[in-house]
Amino acid sequence: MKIKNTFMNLIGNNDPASKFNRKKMLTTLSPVIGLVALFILASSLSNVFLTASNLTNVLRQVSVLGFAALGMTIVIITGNIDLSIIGNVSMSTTLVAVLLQNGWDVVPMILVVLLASSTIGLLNGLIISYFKIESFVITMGMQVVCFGLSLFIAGGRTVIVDNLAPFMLNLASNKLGMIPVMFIILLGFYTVFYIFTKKTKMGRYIYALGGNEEVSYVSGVNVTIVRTTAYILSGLMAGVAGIFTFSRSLCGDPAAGSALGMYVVAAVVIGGTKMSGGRGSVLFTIIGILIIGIINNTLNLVGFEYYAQQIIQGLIIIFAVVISSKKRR
Amino acid sequence: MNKPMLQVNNITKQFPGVKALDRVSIDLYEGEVLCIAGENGAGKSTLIKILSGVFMLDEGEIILNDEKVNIKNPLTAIELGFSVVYQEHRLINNLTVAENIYFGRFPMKRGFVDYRKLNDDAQQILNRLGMNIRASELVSSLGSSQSQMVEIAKALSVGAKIMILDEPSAAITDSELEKLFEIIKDLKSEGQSFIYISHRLKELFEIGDRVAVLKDGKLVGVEKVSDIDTKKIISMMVGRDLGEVYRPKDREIKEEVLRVENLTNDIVHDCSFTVRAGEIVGFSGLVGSGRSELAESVFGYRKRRAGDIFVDGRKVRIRTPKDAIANGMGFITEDRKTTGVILNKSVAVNTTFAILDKLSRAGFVNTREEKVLVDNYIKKLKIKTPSDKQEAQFLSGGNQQKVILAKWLLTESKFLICDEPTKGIDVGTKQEFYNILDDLARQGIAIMLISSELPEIVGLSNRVYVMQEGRIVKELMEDEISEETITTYSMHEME
Repeated sequence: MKIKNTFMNLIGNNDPASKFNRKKMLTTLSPVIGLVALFILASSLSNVFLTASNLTNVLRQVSVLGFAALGMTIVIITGNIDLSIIGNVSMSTTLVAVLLQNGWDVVPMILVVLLASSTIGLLNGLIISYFKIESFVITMGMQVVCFGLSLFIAGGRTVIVDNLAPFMLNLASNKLGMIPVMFIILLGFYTVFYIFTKKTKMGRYIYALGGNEEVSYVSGVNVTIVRTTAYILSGLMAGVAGIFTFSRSLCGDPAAGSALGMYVVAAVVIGGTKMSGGRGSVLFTIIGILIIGIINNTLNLVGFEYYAQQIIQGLIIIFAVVISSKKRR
Repeated sequence: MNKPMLQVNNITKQFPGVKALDRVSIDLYEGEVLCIAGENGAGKSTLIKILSGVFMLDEGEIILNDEKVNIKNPLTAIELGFSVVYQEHRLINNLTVAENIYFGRFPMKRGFVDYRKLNDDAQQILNRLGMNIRASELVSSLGSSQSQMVEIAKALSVGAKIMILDEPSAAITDSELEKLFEIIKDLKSEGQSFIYISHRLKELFEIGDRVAVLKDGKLVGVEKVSDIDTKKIISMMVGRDLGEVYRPKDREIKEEVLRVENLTNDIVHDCSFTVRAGEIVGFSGLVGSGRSELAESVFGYRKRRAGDIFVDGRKVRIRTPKDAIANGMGFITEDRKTTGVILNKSVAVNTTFAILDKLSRAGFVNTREEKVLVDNYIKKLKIKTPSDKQEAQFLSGGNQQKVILAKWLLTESKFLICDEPTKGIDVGTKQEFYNILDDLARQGIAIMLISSELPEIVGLSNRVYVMQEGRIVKELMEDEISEETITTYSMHEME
């Protein structure tokens, strides 16, 4: 009982008297159950899966997706979507490369990249709020703009950086025990965002915006500020994802973000956050990215052809979304 | 007259918590215009919806030409010869007049629509109605009376034997109305029967043969138009027992809290009124008279085109609800689910939602202080919930309404707008609400009460403003307030 209560607290409903709790807990827990099942399945399908080096590799692979999906989770909780993220990641990666190539120090480089990526979010938020247009359309347009900017920044090719600073050189490869440092940083971000969404005033406004925008407005909330904040955070996280994308490939590829594709949305939805907004938790997006990471890894280990991997991944995403929407009654 | 073509016998329709129609019997003769009168919620639209197959009746029978019929859905209604011309247009704007008239029943030729026949047939009907419209015109280019005529043409083309006109005068001008009346009279002489619904009692005398009056879902009576006058109709529409709603009105009324001057928006025109501390001011009028829209503009929720708002005698700038709240206003909106509570958030979150600024330190919500406040209001307003963490969607309507009330009490509102505060709430909780509103007024809060239930307005208000088509047409002082006076002023009877 105590454990259950703690858990209910974690997901934001600690009312033991509610008869809907049992069902709700099961619903919320299903991504975790899925992850455990998948883990067992993966271990039995391949004997390489459980090796330390492979698991480290999985964590490293999911980290970039994790940063991007964190921002997406915030935006989806507000009842919107941010398709510009993958373009923004590309833009940030090329910006990292070009700035480093021009001899910038790491700290000012990071600040400029995050400022640029957040500005994309700011624009998304303001345009959607002022013109009251579907976020889907605006952010899709912004994605194209970002990919264009990436090409412009990179001069139309992949940017190779000479004389990399050791910090950037080792950012992706550093480990603490068997856990990559970048995954630890990822967990740090998730913790901060979790506290932000669950404990602060702005966090409440973000959930409330997705729950019912009209009520928020009638209650005196400036919904433009709330929505724009969510998009700025999403842009910021795209910037962080861009920096780590660079740290893994050590070059500025203007198409780097497209590898994330729809995984960003999929990770959020698989984690149980509702596309309709107002429900979900950033913590469960971690489960989402791990599920996607393990599936990809296992398909590789078992040796499926690339086309088969694509088909299976796509079907799994559809399956996860169907399951999650069915539970909404 | 001979035998009625349509007999509606003892029909009853029950909705959760309310009997919309209670053993209502009406008959209609060939070539007759039967008018139906009644206040908001009297059951007029439910009756239409049963005849047109939108609702199924719970009890009773409908007999058409000596045969018992079962109107299962809108399609059978049309096949049986019932046709409704609604007050809002249901035409498709980007199609032609002819296409609209024959929509879904296009004449075909070798698998393609036969446009020549389509246009010829439609033109024939239009000519018969004496209308100066080309069948090939787009509906979007028509005026509102012309569209209304097209609807009638459409009803004729399907062979409607009984045409139901739902507030046809709402959207058209007086001269257009006269034309409509001419057409009705023409068709009547050809044996067409009409059921005519309007809030404008004057019209009933111009066009009707008989009038049936509904009140609270019951039939009060059917009279020949030649035998009665508007006074009689109004007296049939009102007259309820106020006993349970009435609260003593000896409230101590103090200084003016709100003054609105010449407020105009897209719906209301030039409205001026005041509300004083300790006073409940009722706003009455038919649905669509602009009561809610007026309140929305006062609260900054609807754009204002002109007009000034004064709080405590000072002119204030209100452009958003945020400004209104900063000036001590609270707004219990008509539609709880879309503008009242966040359904998937807890009682606590909903209750303190408008005071998070006060409840936060450095951006973090002080949940301990929050719980104290929320528990206090759960007790004070007797909100039935297992705990403050329960999601609002699992609360009954009345308890959701209490949560919204608590939200506005926490902001320390000195002016509270209550728009249909007891809509969809059970009888017991309604009584609680009347006590609470009375209590709040006695504590010195100024209350603007909008309600479609006349007993509420009569039983609770110190003063009443009556609205009609977006204008305040009458201010009634305490000793003038009665169902009769309010109905008279809201029914277009005062020129």
